[in-house]
Amino acid sequence: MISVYLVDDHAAVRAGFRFLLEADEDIEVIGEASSGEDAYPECLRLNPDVIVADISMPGEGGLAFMRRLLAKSSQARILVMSMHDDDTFVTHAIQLGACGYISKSGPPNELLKAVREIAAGKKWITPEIAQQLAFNSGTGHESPVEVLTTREFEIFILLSEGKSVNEIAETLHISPKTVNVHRANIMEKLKVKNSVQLAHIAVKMGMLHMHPRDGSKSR
Amino acid sequence: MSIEKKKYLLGLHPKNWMRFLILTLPLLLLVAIVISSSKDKEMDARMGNISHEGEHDIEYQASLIHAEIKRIAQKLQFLSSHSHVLDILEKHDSTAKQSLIQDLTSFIMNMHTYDQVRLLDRQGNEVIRVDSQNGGIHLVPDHQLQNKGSHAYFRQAMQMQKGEVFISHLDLNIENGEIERPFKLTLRFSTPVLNSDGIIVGVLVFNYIANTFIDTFNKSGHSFGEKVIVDEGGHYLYLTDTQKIWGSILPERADFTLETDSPELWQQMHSNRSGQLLTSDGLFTFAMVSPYSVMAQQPAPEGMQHFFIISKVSIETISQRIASTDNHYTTMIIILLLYWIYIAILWLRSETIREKSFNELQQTVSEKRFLLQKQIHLQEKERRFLAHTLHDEIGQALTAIQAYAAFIIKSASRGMCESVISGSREISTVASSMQLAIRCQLNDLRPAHLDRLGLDTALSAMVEAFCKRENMTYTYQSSPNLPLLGEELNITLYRIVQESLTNIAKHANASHVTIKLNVKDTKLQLNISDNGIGMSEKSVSGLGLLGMRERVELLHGSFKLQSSPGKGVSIDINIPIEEE
Repeated sequence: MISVYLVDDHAAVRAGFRFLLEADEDIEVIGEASSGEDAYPECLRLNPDVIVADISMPGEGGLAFMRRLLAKSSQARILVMSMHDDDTFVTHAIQLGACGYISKSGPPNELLKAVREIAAGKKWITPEIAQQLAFNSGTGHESPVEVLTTREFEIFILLSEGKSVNEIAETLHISPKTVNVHRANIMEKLKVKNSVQLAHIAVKMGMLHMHPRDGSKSR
Repeated sequence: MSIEKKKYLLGLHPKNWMRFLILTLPLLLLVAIVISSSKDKEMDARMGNISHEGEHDIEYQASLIHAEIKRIAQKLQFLSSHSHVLDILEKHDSTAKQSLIQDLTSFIMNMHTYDQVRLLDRQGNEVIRVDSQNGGIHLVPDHQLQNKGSHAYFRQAMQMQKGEVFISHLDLNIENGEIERPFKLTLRFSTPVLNSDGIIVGVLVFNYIANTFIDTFNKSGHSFGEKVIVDEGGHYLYLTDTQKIWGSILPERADFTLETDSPELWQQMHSNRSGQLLTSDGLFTFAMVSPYSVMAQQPAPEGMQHFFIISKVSIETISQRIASTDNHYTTMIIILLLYWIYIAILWLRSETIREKSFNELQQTVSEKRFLLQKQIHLQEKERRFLAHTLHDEIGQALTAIQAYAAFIIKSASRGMCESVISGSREISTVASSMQLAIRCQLNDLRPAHLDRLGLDTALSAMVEAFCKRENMTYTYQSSPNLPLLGEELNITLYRIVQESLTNIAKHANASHVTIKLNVKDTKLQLNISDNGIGMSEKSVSGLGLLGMRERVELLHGSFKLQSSPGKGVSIDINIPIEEE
């Protein structure tokens, strides 16, 4: 029996995955959460065989959740499932210690394959992404954010979402000073002068602001 | 948002007042210096003129008196060598006497300036005496003739050479030992008459009425001031105040002297023949008249007196003459200065207006820039929001649908009918929520009511929905004869009402909102008001309001916002419309 824990902010997606995963008798979804913050204590408590997690979520997001969880429990096996097929996300996710990375837009049955492989202690990356990754590395086609460390990348995403230094510090449970140091490093590495230019890079990279902070539609 | 029209003093901005002072002060200073220095110079020059005039006048007067004395002396010399005179004195020739009397009579009559003409014999007895009396001529009869042997004019003449003339000092006429009144200022001339042997046989005497040249002196150059004559001892011989004159002769007036009245002047007169002195009393100009100086070859007898003629110009007269001239100069400069100040004010005022309009323009430009920037931000936000919808709502829903589809396929292959049904139901649910999300998004992009139902209905629907959501009451009034307004106007008004309602929800804390839409003449009037907390003037510059105003101005309308703390906010919009 493979125990699976689902972390995704979209209830419909979680429900769909649960249906699909539980259609196989040897897979059981033992819990689900809509954010990293909610999932963290549960995962530690339940110790599931595979954790299926999204990257873009309100709050700390998937990457920070992975970092925290792996720091506490290095045995945790995490399968990242994302709408982002961008190399950068994949690279950083794997660098952080993810066991697999699949695209949400891929065929749903891939999820079942990836879960089984990872539960068996193997790794899994969607073949298209793996190819893309292999061909792009070292060819000069890397995105500018490649130069960032994983931590810097996390903070870069949060900054480009329009979050303030203090908000980021609170979300990631680190001090504002540290965030400021990271921010300065990011700016220097990306050769930008302000947050607007930072956001422009993020938009260009396709790393759109997935979770507008307020849902208001004022203009 | 209206730009404040401040009232400035004379229409000048404080900054331009500074410029005005910078422009005017140095000039003012310069003018002050020029005026004061030129005033000093001008006064000096005027003063110089006055003193020169005085000097010139008094010297001229002195020379006139000298010339008159010389002329008299020459006449006396001429008469002394008259042949009849010797005949009378040596031969006692009565025919010659009658002839001489006739000559002398006509002489006095024609000259008017002689009081007496006398011929004395060597003993001092009067032989002939012709008097001028009340404008007529009086020949003194023989029995009234006197002996004048003791008089200085006789004694001096008896010791003189041929051709020499004795001139007395200025004196009063004394008749029979009495001073003749009214005072008759007299100058006596005498000369010896010599026979062919060179022996003095008699003396010829003129009594000259010195009043004549004093009158001339007094009348001459009247503007040069008061005239004074003093003798060598400082006693007044002539003065406007007649009570002070003749101190030399009248013992009771002996104390009235120039020395006591103006010691400084008197001291200067003692050492100079002529000169000038400015005192607090006025400007004194003096010249000495010494009768003997006209007699070229004749030494002055000892003790012979001279006298001084003096003109006195009072300080008042001097300052009047100085002031009257330099007034014009100062007035002209002040008029020029005032004109300059006027020009400066006009120029700076136009500068103020120019600056004001420049500032207004700058403000408009910065407003536009701000708007543009915000516009770009909003566009980004909109795009982000659309991306969010596509990614989160649609993308995730599709992911879910795919998962359900995979589940259904798997269930169907296993013949699990119920699982297929439940999976299909889930797909249907996800698809419905997807439709809803898309509809909301579309409605946001373009209000469906507006296109389908028209402005009036769309507005009332929006207000109704808003008040329901915000738990408020509302009044909505619209004119029944609302014309077709065109798409641009419709969307503008719709957005303005939408923005106003958003503002009210965010800031006003109001419980009631009123919206009125009317058409008056060719103008569309929209009024939105609430009963909320209002706002202070400072906060009347938000982006939303700026955007509203911009939208209205694009349609050539006017935008007016009225508010004060505690009194709600009222927005009035007027937009011209063309009746179709």
